[in-house]
Amino acid sequence: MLSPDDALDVIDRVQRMDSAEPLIEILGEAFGQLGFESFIVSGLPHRGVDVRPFVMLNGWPFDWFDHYTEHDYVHSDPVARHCFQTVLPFDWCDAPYDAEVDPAAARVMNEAKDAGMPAGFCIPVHMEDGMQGCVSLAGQTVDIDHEDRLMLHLIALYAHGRLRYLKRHMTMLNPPEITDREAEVLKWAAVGKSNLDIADILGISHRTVVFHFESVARRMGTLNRTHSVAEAMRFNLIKL
Amino acid sequence: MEVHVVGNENQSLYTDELEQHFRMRHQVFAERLNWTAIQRSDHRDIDQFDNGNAVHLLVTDGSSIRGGSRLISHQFPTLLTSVFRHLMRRPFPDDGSRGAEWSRFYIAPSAGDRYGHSLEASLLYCAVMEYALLQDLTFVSFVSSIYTVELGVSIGWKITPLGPPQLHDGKPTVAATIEVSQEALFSAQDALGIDRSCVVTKVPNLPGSPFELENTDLRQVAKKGVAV
Repeated sequence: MLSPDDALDVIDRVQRMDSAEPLIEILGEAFGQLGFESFIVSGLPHRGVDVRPFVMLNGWPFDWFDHYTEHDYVHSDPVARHCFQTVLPFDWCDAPYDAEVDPAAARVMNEAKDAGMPAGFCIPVHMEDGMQGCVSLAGQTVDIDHEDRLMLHLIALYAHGRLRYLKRHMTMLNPPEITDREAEVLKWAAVGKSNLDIADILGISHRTVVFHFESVARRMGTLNRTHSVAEAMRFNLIKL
Repeated sequence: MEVHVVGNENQSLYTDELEQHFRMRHQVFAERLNWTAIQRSDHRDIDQFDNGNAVHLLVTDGSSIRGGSRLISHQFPTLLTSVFRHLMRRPFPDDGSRGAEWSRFYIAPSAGDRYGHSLEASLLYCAVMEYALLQDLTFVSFVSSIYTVELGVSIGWKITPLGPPQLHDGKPTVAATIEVSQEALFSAQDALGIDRSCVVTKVPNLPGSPFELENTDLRQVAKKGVAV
């Protein structure tokens, strides 16, 4: 049970934090009062993209987090997938999948159970630019009433919003670093050149151009070419 | 695009725009969002709060309306203090005298479904904060589905719930206040990519606000916004 006053106090503290670390404890304590043992706050990448740069606050057990991310489970995890289908929070057991035709989904759920996380509650977050995120809590949900679920939803949105703010703020203070060659490739992409054009212009192979874009995406946590160009311009890493 | 602040003092200069504004509000809230309580046969959304105390922020692009919002000082009755009173378990900051309610936030349906991610929405967020600062307010209140809170907090605003969320028409709904500060304005401008003031220099005062701007002889002020 989380009293409204306690919950509003958590919300107040979440907004006063100027770095992400203290949020692990503040949120962990609040979620713990409702019986949740661990949690994560993360953006959700498109298919095939590594989730790690999207994780904003990792309160999972370390072993599970490593196992999950090394195997790219985010793309077969029914809980993560269901976030794209609904705006309403849901119990993990209500994330639909068909074990017969989708053994990868069944595997994630079974291994989570084996790792001591058989049940949980997930709050999807839909961002204004069309990106998805979620706050996912591990623990039993049967005793959590309607009011507490609404309050959890609100706290999760505050946590996600504050972490997004902090993430942007931190990257502004510490802009990503890219090499001169990467900047050059981005600059040509920004004026509309294709990868083949860029290869010709710089006298390098097409494969090398692709390699530079992949490297930039890893450094900046971006999703694709256009996203990388936009971020590079935002941080003044390239000038046209 | 420009943002115009339209109140009692200068509404005669904005007859066409206000007409479009009320029609678009009906289109958005009564028709698209299906708020049955405000549906009207003349297809204009005008309620008891659209009186001389209300100030409307209009986003315009040439002669067409692209979005809008309404502000009403808490010196007067508002949606929150009348219709949504049950969402309020805590009092307003500063006994409420330096706050205003922000309601009927919308952008033109043609701007697409990505509600928060449009120039129209960004301009409105910044314009509300800028005008609230000009009017010496300390907070702006709102009633909204709780999803709005995530965006507000992500642009660095301090948002304090006035009570626990409750379901309204099946949607999780909360009443809350946004702290008005110079920092909040800069932070929103920074996050939303608005790099200049977006409220006209001569604007009508919000009736009931603690601060009355001097020299607002609006009859001499042409319809002039700041282009962004």
